[in-house]
Amino acid sequence: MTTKIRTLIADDEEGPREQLRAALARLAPELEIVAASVNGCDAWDDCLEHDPQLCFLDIRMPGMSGLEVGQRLSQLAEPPQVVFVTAYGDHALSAFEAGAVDYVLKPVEDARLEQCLQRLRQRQAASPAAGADGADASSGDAGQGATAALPGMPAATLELLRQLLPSQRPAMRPIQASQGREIQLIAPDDILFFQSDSRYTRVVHRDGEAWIRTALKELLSDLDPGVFWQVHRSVLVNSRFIASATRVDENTMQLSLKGSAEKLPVSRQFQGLFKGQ
Amino acid sequence: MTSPSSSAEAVPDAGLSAGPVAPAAPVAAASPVSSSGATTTQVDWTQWLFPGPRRSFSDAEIERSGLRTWSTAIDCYVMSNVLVLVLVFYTMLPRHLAHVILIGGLAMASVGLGVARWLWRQPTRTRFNGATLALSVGMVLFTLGMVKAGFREEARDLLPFAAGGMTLVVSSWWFLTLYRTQQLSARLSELDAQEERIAMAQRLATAQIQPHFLFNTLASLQHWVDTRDDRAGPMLRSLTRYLRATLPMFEQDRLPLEQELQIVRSYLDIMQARLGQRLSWSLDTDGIAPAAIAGASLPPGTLLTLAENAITHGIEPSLRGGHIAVRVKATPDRLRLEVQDGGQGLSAGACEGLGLANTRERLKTQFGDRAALGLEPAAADAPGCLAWVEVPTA
Repeated sequence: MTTKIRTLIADDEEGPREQLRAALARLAPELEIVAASVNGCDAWDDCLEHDPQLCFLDIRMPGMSGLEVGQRLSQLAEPPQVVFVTAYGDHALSAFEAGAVDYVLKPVEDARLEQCLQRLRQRQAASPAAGADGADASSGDAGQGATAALPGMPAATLELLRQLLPSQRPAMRPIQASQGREIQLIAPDDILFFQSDSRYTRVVHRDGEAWIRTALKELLSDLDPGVFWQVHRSVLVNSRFIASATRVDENTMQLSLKGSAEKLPVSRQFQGLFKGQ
Repeated sequence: MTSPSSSAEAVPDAGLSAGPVAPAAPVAAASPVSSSGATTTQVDWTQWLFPGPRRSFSDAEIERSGLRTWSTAIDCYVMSNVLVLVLVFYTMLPRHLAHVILIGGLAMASVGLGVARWLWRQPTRTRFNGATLALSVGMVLFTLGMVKAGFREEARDLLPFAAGGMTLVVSSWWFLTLYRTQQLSARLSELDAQEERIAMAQRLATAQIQPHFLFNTLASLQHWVDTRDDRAGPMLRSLTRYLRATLPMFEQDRLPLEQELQIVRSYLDIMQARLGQRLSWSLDTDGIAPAAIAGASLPPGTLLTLAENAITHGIEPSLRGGHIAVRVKATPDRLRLEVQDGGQGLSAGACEGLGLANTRERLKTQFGDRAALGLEPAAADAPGCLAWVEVPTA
């Protein structure tokens, strides 16, 4: 097989991140590191950009914890395999030990990492439907079909994530946008959607629009994911303002909003949000 | 600068001062009580002439036990019993002595209760034997007085009542003294055990922070050694310094400020190497006489806890990182230590973690109300938060 498994690693500290990268290069040449993210927000964003099949996520990261990223990933149309990376003394560790979650301890030891990779390979081999699935889903490049053979996240992992993550979110704070000398406060309830530009984020609200310097990925953890749905790597929409979702063709979907004529794109990974009943 | 050798010397010292003293106390407290109660192996002849518990309690010990109060219910109970008893047998008593016995009984009961309170306050065998002797002498004198005054018959009639009453009173004192001794020593050893547990829990709680820090540090170190990175050497040196200073640190009651600053320095050095651009830090002891620092001491880990909090709650959760400023300030009689971080800032309803509660507890043990600890937003216009500790220097 010539195509490699697209793999993402995320750790906010350089040392452990590069140590893992080196260990993976040594032990699993079939993996291709497509991204090495330096915090939780970047990890999530890089996942959307590179569509990895395997993610090694550190638990403690700024912005978004590895657990949060894992949970978000689990809701994608084709979630990647997730291996959590943690240090001894982490509160999640005992839960991992008891559950069926894939995890490795820092500093990563070759023997333990090898064991983990072996498990992933076995799961890949034991998933007969994966090949067919992959062929079905091969939307773009031909290589993707051959290697998209890793099955989705185990149910036990999802259950564990649900238990480990705090159930209550702090209340959403207003978005502060500066316009000249004035700072405008926009209540999240009044916001229709966020759209990221190369350097700025556009905030479209009931009474107009504003630009803020905070990147979209950094806004995510402050906003309630039950209200604000990410539908595209660059679009975060307030679900209360969604009027309808229209399928344009097999791969394209568009959202129409209440109170705005703009159409928003829904990327393939998020189309599962709109299934109809 | 604290040389590494001075922190190493602290090890045996800590072992002697903190180790045997605490556990030895309850053992010493327990033994006399059990030996006076169970003389199975060796007959204690002094108990024959001078009976009673061997252990005596200092005022401080009784104060500590918290079991001070004498219940007035006991007074009411004893007095009403004596009254009822005498009234029930009133008709059977020799007619001319009935009122003497009634009044005498009540008087004896109240004297007995007075002595009982006195024994309750300090249940020693000196007191018990003194009281018994005084009572015996009093009874003999009273009887002799009656005989002298020509009441020989009455004295003979009263004798059985007096002897019975006296036996009753002395036995009550005896049991009271023993019971009180047992109660106090049991309570004191219970408190000792409790304190031991708290101390152990505090030590463990502080030690709990370490594994995560340690293994993450080792992960960086491992990589830098593998890749022959120049950062490995200084990092290993800082880690060694940190470990040498922190491992014996929690055995001690207080640590010289100089040593605590050294620990914080090596800790921040390590974190700086790990976090790279995300962390910068400064330690400012300007304007303070070196003598003031040399003379000051703190519960170990006080400043380190603040620095660890600044890292774990301020810098690490922040996407952009920030600066940590450690400042030592002095007034003539107080020392103020500050750790300010430019990180996340206090989230709404931020609660003090275990580390701060521990630190506050230990400051209180050492300085009472003269030390203070606080946590507040750094400034109106700056991000992050400011943690401070103030201790008396005198």
